[in-house]
Amino acid sequence: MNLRRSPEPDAELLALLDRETAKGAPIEAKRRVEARILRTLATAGAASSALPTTPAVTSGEPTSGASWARPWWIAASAFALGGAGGAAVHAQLTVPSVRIVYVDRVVTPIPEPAVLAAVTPDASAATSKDLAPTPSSTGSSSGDSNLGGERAIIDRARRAFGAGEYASAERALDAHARQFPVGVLREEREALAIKALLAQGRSDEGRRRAAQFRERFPQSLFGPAVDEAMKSIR
Amino acid sequence: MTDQRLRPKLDPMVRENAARSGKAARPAFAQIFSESFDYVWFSLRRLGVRERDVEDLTHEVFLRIHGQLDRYDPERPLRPWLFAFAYRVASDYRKLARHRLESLEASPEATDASVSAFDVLATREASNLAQAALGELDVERRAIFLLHEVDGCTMPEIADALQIPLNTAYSRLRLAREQLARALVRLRSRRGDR
Repeated sequence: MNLRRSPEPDAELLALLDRETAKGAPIEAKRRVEARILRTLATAGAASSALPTTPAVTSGEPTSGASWARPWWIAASAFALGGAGGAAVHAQLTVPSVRIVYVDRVVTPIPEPAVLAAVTPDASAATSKDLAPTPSSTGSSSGDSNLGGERAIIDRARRAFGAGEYASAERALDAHARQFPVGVLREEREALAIKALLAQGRSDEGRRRAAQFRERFPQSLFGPAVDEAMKSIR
Repeated sequence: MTDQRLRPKLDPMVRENAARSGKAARPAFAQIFSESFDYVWFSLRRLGVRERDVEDLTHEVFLRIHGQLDRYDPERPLRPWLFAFAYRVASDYRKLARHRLESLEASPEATDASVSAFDVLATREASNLAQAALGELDVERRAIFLLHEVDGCTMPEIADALQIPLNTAYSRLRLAREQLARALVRLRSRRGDR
C-alpha cells in the first residue's frame, strides 16, 4: 500500500493533540474511577473466602502490583451480589456491603432532547462542558439514552429480580432492549434476563438465550455468571 | 515497535522475575490503571466521546481491561492493546449516539454521507482545531490515524490490535490523512488562516 501519495500528517494538528494531553486527565476523575473499580472488585472479593486480600478503597494512586481480584470472580460475584442486593433493598435491610454495590451506580439520567439543543447554532461556540444539558432545557425525560439512563433501567431490573418480581424485572429489561438495543450495558441486560428466565422455571428459553449470549459475547465478563446460573437447571 | 513509551514501566521485582524466567512479564492491573489512565481518557476523547461521558466510559474500559488481562501478551506493546478496548467502547457509544440523533431529527449538516450526525455534533462541541478536524473522521479511520500518527505504532501492530487486515489498516490511514487534510484546509479558511 503506497502511502507516499497521501498527505503527510499536519504538524499543527499533531502539536495540538500533544498539547491537549500535556495537562493530563482530571485527577479527581481518576480517583473516582479508581474508587468505583476498587469497590466493584472489593465487593466481588468479599463474596469469596478464596480471595483473602481485597484492596482498600483509597483516594490516592494505586500501588504498583496491588492484588486485584481475578476476572471471573468479578463477574460471577458482582452478578450474584447484584441480585442479592436487590432483595436486601426490597426487604429494607441495611447491609453495608449491599449499599456499596449501588453507590457507584446512582447516575443522574440526562434527558435525551438536550442532544438537539447542543447542535443549535448558538451552542457552536460553547465548550463541551457548557453544552451539558439541564432538565429545564429539555422538557422531557422520556428519551434517556445515555449511560445514566441505561444504568437506571438495569438497576431497576436488578432490584425487581432481587425482590423475586421476575416479570417486573423482565419488563425493565425489555424496556432497556428497546431503548438501548446496542447499549453499553447490553451484556449485563442479557445475563440478567437469562437469570430471570431460569428463576421462573423457563429453562428452555433460558437455555436458548444463554446459547445466544455465548455466541454474541464469547469474551463477556458475565459469561461465568451465566454459566453458573445454567448449572442450576442441569 | 520497540518504543519504550508503548510499554509499561514494570515494577523492578516483576522485571527481575521476568528476566530470570526469560519471558516478558505481564504488568499488574493496578499498574496499568495508574500509568495508562490518561492515555485511555484522552483516547476516548479523541475517538469522539463527549466530555460528560468520558468518565463513565473510562470506567467501562478499565473493567473490560481487567477482565481480559490474562489475554494480554506482554511481548506485544501495551498501548495498541489498551486502545482497542477504548475503540470498541467508543464505537458502541457512537452507534448509540448516532441512533439517538437520527431518530429524533435529521441534521441538515449530516446530508453528506461521509459525515454522520454524531460527527457534526462532535465537531460543534470541539473546542479546538484538532478536535474539530478529528471529528470529521469516522471512528475506524480516526483510530488508525491516532494509533499511527500520534502514538507511533507500526501498521502491523495496529492491524493486530484492532484485528483487521493489514491492507485495510493502510487503506484507512491513507483515507484518514486525505480527509483530515481537506478538513484542515476548510477549518482554517473558516477561522481566517492563510
